[in-house]
Amino acid sequence: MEIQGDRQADVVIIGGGITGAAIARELSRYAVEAILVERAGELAAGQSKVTLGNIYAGLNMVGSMVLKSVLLAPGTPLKELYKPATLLERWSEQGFKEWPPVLEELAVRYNYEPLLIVAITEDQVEDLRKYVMLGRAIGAFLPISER
Amino acid sequence: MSRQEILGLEPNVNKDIVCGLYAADHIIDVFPPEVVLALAENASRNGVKVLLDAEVIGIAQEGARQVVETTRAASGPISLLTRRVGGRIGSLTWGEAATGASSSRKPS
Repeated sequence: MEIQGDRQADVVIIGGGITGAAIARELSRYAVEAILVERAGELAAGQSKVTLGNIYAGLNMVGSMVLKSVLLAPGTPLKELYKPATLLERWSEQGFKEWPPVLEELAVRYNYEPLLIVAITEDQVEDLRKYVMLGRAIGAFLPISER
Repeated sequence: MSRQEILGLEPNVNKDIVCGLYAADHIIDVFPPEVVLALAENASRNGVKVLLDAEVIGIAQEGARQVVETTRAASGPISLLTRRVGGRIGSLTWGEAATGASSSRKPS
């Protein structure tokens, strides 16, 4: 039923994607009047609809670091590429660990998928060693099995 | 991880591989819209209101409160669309001191 006129709220969440929906759920734990507004006719209508749906941390961070290292000036210190102390990186890892219990509470299906990077030349083998070394050096979250 | 182990895991991979890096449990794979709907449904059951077709077109300060203006038109028989010509359609207001943040409601 449509209610006309002004509405009152303590918080207005703009955007009904994964971010807005997660904020809405978290706020609903408290005695706060919250309204979620979405411009489309349905939720998850934009980025949250077309994204691949992979939640990750760790090794992919090392991968993105390697990519960044190509873009940045040679000799840029590693700590410029990956800052484990920043809130973004810390929360990425924390979030990665916090998702499974949330998904279970919501009865949403999820799978843990492995990541496999292969090397076909000795140079690439060396690259893989560097990835792991880099990851360890910067203290990234690396659930890697070494064999 | 050795060549043999990799081929055991993934027989379709290039046969020239020497070795690989394997991270089990590295990616949490979900269907994103399902996650969004589940989160929003839970929030909604706990009292959060969801307004669709409501694009925010302005936020204005009016005295002690702020007013969020949206394009929200009535989905029922009363069409507010014509009111868009006149200005505001379905505005939201907030801004009074936040109510106490007690954990009185928990997501189920």
